Amino acid sequence: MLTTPIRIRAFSLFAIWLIWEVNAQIAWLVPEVFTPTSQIFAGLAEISVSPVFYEHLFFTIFATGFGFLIAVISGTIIGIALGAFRIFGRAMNPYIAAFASSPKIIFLPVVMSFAGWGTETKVTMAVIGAIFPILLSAYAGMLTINPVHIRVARSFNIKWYDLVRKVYLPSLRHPLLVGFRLGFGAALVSVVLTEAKFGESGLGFLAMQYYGLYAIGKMFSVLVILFALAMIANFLLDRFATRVPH
Amino acid sequence: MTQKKANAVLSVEQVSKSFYVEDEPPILALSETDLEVQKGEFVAVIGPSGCGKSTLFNIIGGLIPSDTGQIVVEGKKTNGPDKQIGMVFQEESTFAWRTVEENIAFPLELAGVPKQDRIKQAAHFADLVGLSGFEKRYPAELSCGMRQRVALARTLALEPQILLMDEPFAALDEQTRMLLGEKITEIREALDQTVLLITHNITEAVQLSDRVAIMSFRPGVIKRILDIDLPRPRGPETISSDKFGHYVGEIWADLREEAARGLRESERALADEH
Repeated sequence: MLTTPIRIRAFSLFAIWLIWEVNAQIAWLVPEVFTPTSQIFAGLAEISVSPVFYEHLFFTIFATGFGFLIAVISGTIIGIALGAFRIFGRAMNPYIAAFASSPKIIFLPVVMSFAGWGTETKVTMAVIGAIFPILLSAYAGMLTINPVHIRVARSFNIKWYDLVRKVYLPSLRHPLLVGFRLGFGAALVSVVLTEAKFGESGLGFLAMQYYGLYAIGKMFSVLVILFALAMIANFLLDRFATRVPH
Repeated sequence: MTQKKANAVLSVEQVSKSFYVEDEPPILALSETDLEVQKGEFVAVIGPSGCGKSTLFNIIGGLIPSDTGQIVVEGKKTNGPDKQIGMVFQEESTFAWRTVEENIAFPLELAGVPKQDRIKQAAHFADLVGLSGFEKRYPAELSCGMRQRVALARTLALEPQILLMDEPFAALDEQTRMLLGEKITEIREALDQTVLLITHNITEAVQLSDRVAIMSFRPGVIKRILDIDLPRPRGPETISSDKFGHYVGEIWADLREEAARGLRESERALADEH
């Protein structure tokens, strides 16, 4: 169905392509970087048949997904704990805020010093990137839980784990979804940055390699794939969100 | 102290509670309060705002501990929320992420009742509060009065002997309030329940109760207990009768000085802040 947002979306994509292509054809703005889109499509076609590309793709998806999963579980637990024990949450708040707003790449040397050059470092970086948005949204959500829901639950002599499962978690459904989205983006950024900087595998590494070889078309095609990856993940989270009631 | 009767299903014995605020003298919310409720009785506790009604509600329900005294249900001292006491809260308290049916089945779920039985029970109580046909709806799709009935059915699902209600109709309009009051009277007769209703609404107290306990403003104690000797069911004729009006007047006469004192104190507190 062609709804208005979809039309606007399609039009803006077309407009960007047009501006890009015109710029490349008249060789106006940094033509050596903004290469004709035909080269990007050629690059896409070329790498899509190379098995090495799929290996790199797998490494990036694996590190991002695994790190994100760990961050989802631990971030949710920590956020709930901070909100459930208010004094503890208030005490820790300044530290969390400081960590959350610092660039996560500064942790890379530390992580590398004990996780090495491989997948472990990427996964750890993904966790560090994703955990803060998740735990912060869980924590913020905990502070807005309707107190009467807790009183109702307590009047039924609820056990702590049922309180978490049947009252806290469903109450947090909206803030958690926002946190998961932001967290996934952060995990992907952390992984690709790590790969680009020090990695030996993954899409970030591949993009830097093509850049080093001056294969600009292929470099952009890797970026297009990363963009697509982020969009697919968002789409899946969206699909999941529609199954959550109100 | 009131005289002990053998068949009291709920007794509040010498319950006191103070609240402490930093840098301020403690507030004595309840002072050695006594109250007995007989089996099958409908008792209303009425008092001005700030008299400790809600504190009494929370203590009887086991949500907060009292400083002194005890709550006894069927001869047994309670320790925390008691299975025989079902609480209905003033605030809108349905779970937005659960359907009507799932809301009502919530306590059954906690008790480990199998799903098939839960659904059957939920349907039964939905029907009892007049929500048959709405089982699959979410609270957002219901009116305020219907949501409060969902909350009531959820409390009834565990079949508590005593229904403890804190201004359950406060958020509703007058007409819905009256109708829901009639509904509660019906349900109570059907389930043979004992009801303790906390309220600040005099008409509501007289419409529903066998006895009305009038509380004084801070510290809260039961100042007087009034028997409401009116025939049931109490339809429009009863409510418009002289006797009904007489009860309302009598309670207001008692409540007036307490409410005035409460108002004066809260205004003074506001003045002190500036």
